[in-house]
Amino acid sequence: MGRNISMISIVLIGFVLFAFAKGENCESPQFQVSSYSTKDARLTAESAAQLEITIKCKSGKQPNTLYADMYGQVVPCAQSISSPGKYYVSVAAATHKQLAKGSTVVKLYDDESYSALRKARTEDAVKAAKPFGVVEINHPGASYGPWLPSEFFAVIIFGLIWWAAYRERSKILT
Amino acid sequence: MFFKISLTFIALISIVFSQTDDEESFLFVTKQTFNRFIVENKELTIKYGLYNSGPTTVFNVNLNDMHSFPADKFELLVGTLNPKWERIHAGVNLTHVVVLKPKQSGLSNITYAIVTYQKSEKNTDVQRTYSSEIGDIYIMTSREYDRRFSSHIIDWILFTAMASPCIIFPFFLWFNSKNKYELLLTKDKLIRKVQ
Repeated sequence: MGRNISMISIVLIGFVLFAFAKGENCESPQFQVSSYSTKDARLTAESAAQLEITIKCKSGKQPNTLYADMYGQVVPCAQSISSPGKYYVSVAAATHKQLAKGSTVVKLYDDESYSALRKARTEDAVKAAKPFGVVEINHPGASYGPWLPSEFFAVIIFGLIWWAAYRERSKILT
Repeated sequence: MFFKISLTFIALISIVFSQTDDEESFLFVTKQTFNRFIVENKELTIKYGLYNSGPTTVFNVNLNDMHSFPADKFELLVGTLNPKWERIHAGVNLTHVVVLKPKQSGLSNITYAIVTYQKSEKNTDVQRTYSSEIGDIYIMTSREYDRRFSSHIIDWILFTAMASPCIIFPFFLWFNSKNKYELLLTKDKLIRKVQ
């Protein structure tokens, strides 16, 4: 029984993109990411993925709001009430295949960079908008279990044994 | 003249009122499960969909679903059952995913989540809305699930171990007699050649 949960911890340090930010903002943030994605395609009908982002700032101040650009959609991240400093961003796909396999880059925006992103009208301007941080999500893909059922192999093995025995028997008899 | 003015005035008022009505935005919340089968000690994925229908941003959105999944019946694996969003812009469709592990099998009732929010930053009135509910669910025992979907590898190994004496014992009997017979045959051939 394959465990469906795998917590991939990636620590990405040093995305000092807002080096000149004001003191009240989060300076030189460190991201600790643990991601989850659906593994068992037999159990579920749709695929989901989630990133749990823990941010540590030098100044000790957490960003008020965090937006994530995940699969081309900018959505606000959820925050945990019970444990502040944790941000969640989720995606859901209607089918298992729809959720892109492999690692995907997720861009994070805080208030300041998000407003810069919203102001950007042209595609070049959108690209030029610097994100607050960049993290990755890895989705190995949902599995439908073994390709051939174990009954198939059992039948083949016992069939081979029977065939060998029958051949020897007919040799003796003739 | 007075009639005309009063009419336009009434019309203006009605426009203003209808506009204030239009400017309010509502939050729609859905709650679904992705699972085809809900099995004890296996993942149960719950998806919350939040949709801001209106033309304005809503603030201070708090979702609370702790009561649907009591700690003695469900274990939280991924996500949080009590998330908050500072603001959700107009027209934004949000997804929030939670993964839980049911601890017991049997029937369980999963109710709605409660969402509170403010329609504007200044308006401190707290709006309260409920998500759709999943209702009664049947949590399968893991044995029941394994019977249907497990690869049965251990079962087949056991079966092979049990079946092998019936195959290997006659095989050795035959193999020994065959070896003896072939030895005799070669000896016979050698004797004939010498003669």
